[in-house]
Amino acid sequence: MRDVELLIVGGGPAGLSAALEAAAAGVEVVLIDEYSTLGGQFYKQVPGTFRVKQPHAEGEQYIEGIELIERVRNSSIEFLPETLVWSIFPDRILGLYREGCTETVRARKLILAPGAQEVPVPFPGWTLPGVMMGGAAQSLLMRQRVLPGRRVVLAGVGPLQLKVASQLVHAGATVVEILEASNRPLVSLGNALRSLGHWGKMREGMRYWTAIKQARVPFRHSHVPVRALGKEQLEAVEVAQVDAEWHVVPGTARTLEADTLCLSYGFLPSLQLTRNLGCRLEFQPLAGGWVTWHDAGQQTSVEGVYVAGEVGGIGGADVAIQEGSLAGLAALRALGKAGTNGHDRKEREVRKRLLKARKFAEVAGAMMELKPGLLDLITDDTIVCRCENVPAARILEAIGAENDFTLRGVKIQTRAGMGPCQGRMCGAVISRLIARKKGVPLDTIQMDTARVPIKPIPLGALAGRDAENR
Amino acid sequence: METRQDVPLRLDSNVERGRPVQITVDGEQIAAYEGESLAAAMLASGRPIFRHTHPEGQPRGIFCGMGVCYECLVSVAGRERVRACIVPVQDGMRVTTAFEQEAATCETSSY
Repeated sequence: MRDVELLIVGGGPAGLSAALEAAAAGVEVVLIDEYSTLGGQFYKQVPGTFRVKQPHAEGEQYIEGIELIERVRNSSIEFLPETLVWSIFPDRILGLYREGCTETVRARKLILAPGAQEVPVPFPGWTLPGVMMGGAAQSLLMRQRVLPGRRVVLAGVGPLQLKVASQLVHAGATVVEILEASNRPLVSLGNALRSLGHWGKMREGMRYWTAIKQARVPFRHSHVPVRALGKEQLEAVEVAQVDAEWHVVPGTARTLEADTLCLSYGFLPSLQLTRNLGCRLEFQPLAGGWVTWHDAGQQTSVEGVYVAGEVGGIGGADVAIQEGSLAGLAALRALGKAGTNGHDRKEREVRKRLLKARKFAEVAGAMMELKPGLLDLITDDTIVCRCENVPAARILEAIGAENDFTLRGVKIQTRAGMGPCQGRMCGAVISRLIARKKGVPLDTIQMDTARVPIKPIPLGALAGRDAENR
Repeated sequence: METRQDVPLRLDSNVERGRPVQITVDGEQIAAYEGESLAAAMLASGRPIFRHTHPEGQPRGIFCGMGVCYECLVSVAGRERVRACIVPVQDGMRVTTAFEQEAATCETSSY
């Protein structure tokens, strides 16, 4: 088994920044990611076989990503692409799956930066091809340079939609409408950006807004999609107005023709790694619900294991980058690689930037809070567990049967959460359904036990086809 | 609002793709580019339906686009079920979208 000084899981903003910080102090760093390219879901790089002709035309975010990745390439950091962590054993031993084989690595220190996933929001028809997460549409556009569709409706909450819309318009798609579930969030966001001095973000937002207005895309506050219509794929979206709590206002439904519907209802931390390891979680209602607890130096409740970025609470890329630096600093100190000044000045600078980034994250988090009416879109025959095709009626029936109000109880009775996504799509939804039916706050509903493999891998790979005798 | 149906799905501004390759999806040849995701290649060829659930027969396509939801699982000859949104295209790849039926048959025969 291979030993490494510092293993970092996740090549997004947090992981890249952690790796650079530690490697600069002479730490041996191995960085792994499920993708073949670094940058993660924020920097969305094109495949290695592609070439962007003029990177500067892609905007500041793209350039920032390229620069970080370039610095990693020019450093001593070893990058293992297309590598999956299927288990974390005690003493920071990780089970990896790559190139069709399993192998184990022991890390003296471990930084987990797995990022986040988008919040799944079920409503009738949401399983139809053509209905996808906003991030999926963005990946198709930015990584693959393919339009997700020609006639697109965007729905969700928060400013990310504006970005997706302007990218789609720029690429030649028709954006039919942008549906924003909350009532007037953009003004408050603009004010917050101004008061916090985030001028770059403010300019960026204005640019998207201008692009959308020029393309005459209608932007509708207090609107949500209530039904996706189509036989084999999306043909139309039924939309309706909602009140302040996002309950549908009767008599307001309209139908929009579309081949694509993008959903952007915010983010959930990817907790499979930290839960598998038994790290303590805490509930932060405006940062994605359950998040991984960590101390001021990014260390989790498990000694030698640090987190950075969304896994410790949704905060965005600016927070992730600073937390990555802090985690890198903590790890290099623990490895005895701190400079004569203990890297103290560096840490003070990072903390100052983190404070500013977190202030913005708090405003954004509050603005993107999901309201209870969203759950009422779920009809009896709406599929909640997409893998096992379990409709809401069966889940609602299972909740509270024999006085069992746990995710596990629902899973055993209905198979919801037993498919290949392992509850990543339905878990958060079922938790909300349980809390509503039981009449208790969401923070009283525990997540289900995390089990290996963290993501599905072939049995053959586990059964001995390991890297040593491939 | 008018939609331009002639807009090509593959965007050509500011990017050079990998080398052109051929793959087959359910026996039909489609043009693709080395290194692009299988999901992108299928979508760009006008195939947004990636599989049907068994036994309900519900169509499914790209959903999360980042390897989390496992909705875009397809069969690639010589490999296990793969997530089309993550797996890069290689020349000569043979893809089938009807694996669930086959998988079900295997299950029946082995129990």
